[in-house]
Amino acid sequence: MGMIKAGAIAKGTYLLEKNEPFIVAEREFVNPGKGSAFVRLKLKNLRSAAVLKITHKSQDNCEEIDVDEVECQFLYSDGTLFHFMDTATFDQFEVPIKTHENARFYMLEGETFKLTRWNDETLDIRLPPKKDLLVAEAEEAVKGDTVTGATKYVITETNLKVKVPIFIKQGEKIRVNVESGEYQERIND
Amino acid sequence: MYRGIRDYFDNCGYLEVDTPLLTDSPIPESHIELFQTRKVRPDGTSYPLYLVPSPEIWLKMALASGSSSLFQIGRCFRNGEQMDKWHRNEFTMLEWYGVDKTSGDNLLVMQEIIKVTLHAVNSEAGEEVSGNIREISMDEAFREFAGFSLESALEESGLSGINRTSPGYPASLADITEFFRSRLKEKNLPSGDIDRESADDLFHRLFLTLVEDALPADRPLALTHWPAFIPTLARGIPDTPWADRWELYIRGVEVANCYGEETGEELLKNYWENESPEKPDPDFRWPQLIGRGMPSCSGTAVGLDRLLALVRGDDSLKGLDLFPIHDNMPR
Repeated sequence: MGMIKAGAIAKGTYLLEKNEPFIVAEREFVNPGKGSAFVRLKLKNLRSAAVLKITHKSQDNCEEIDVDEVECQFLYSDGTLFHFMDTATFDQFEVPIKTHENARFYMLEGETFKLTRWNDETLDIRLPPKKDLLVAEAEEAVKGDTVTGATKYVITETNLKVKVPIFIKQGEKIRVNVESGEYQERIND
Repeated sequence: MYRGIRDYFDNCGYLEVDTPLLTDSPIPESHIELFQTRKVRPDGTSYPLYLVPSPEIWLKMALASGSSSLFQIGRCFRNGEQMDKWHRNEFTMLEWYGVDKTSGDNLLVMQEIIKVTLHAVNSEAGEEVSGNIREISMDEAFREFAGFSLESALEESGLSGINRTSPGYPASLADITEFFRSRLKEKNLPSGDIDRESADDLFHRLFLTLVEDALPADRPLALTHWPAFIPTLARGIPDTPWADRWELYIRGVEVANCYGEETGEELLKNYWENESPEKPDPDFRWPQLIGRGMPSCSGTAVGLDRLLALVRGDDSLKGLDLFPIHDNMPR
């Protein structure tokens, strides 16, 4: 655990506030017309996913969490927990899905991911910016429906619903933006 | 935009001035970091000069020397600011002073400046930028968003109708400091080293956490009647705990501030003394010169880069950076 001046906090910094671990989602500097410099932070609680908005004076000392980056294999999900294995120690452990909802759409069994861990707690699952996924369910395009830009919804192998161009078929692979969940392109292997 | 603003002030009979960017005695503002350079004499000896954080001191000197209403569009420099969405170390400021005008008059002028800017860039910005400026007092804002009356608190501390040179002032200030401290504790807000913090830092903690972010942004907003204990060059409103001051927010971004100007020599001197300790070379001739000659007036400073970006519908100053510099330079 180290101390960090609030003015040095960046997006992505891990902080301990009121004994709860948070990641900084947004940081904004506020210099009131005639006052000290302040930093307004939007924090995401890494246990409850709740959002906390707080304001610190730039000179305030905050508690920064020293986290570990661990490479882990995703074994499976049981609906409530993700099961992972540390690829260096072969230790197995669980992560509650509700704290990392989005991850379930982008992890395939057997793949490895970098996890941010602190005191046996997983604070973050590092997902790639883009992920290639197989289309598990797709409606057939209706004949004659050739309007440029026409779209439909498909379901991927990870159960993610994605809006795609009309030409995408079941069994094809598509590239999805992990942050927005949006279709980017068709992948021809 | 600049041409539109110049035409507007020209038609209103304001004098345009162009004042120096380098000074050996900057205005003391304890919260502003300055850019310092050195003037080198031919013999190789040197002395410090500073880039102005605003043209305020020059414009006030001009007024004290008998100038009529005046304005300037010029570059200003503030060190220590983080380069983020709405902050730059170098920026363009419009500052104007209307002789015999009030802060209320200047709010009307501000509305016109927004109109001029909208027109100059053919903006189709909505009500949140082009709408009529809504006025909310600091007390109304605190009652609405912080759940208590700031006016009652200030009055109970005895801060009504007194100023920084009054004998009872230190005790009243200690009282309000304690009040803010207990509010912060009660609301369990981050507090840093609050047991040693000044009343205005504690006030800003409450204001920035509970109030500023919650202010309505559907129209431009002028937050009026700021606590007089915050050290500024705004005059106190007689028999109240308030300073004659407003800050303008557009889409939640602070764009301008305005004072009914303090002209009393004693209070100006007090400000210089209190704001100076950490500042280089305060020049105590200024309060005397300004205090003895400055007419009743109101001055407004507008961050033109911010105004332009907001009128354009931008979410940061980035679109105006022709030659950007970053905090991580030099490489």
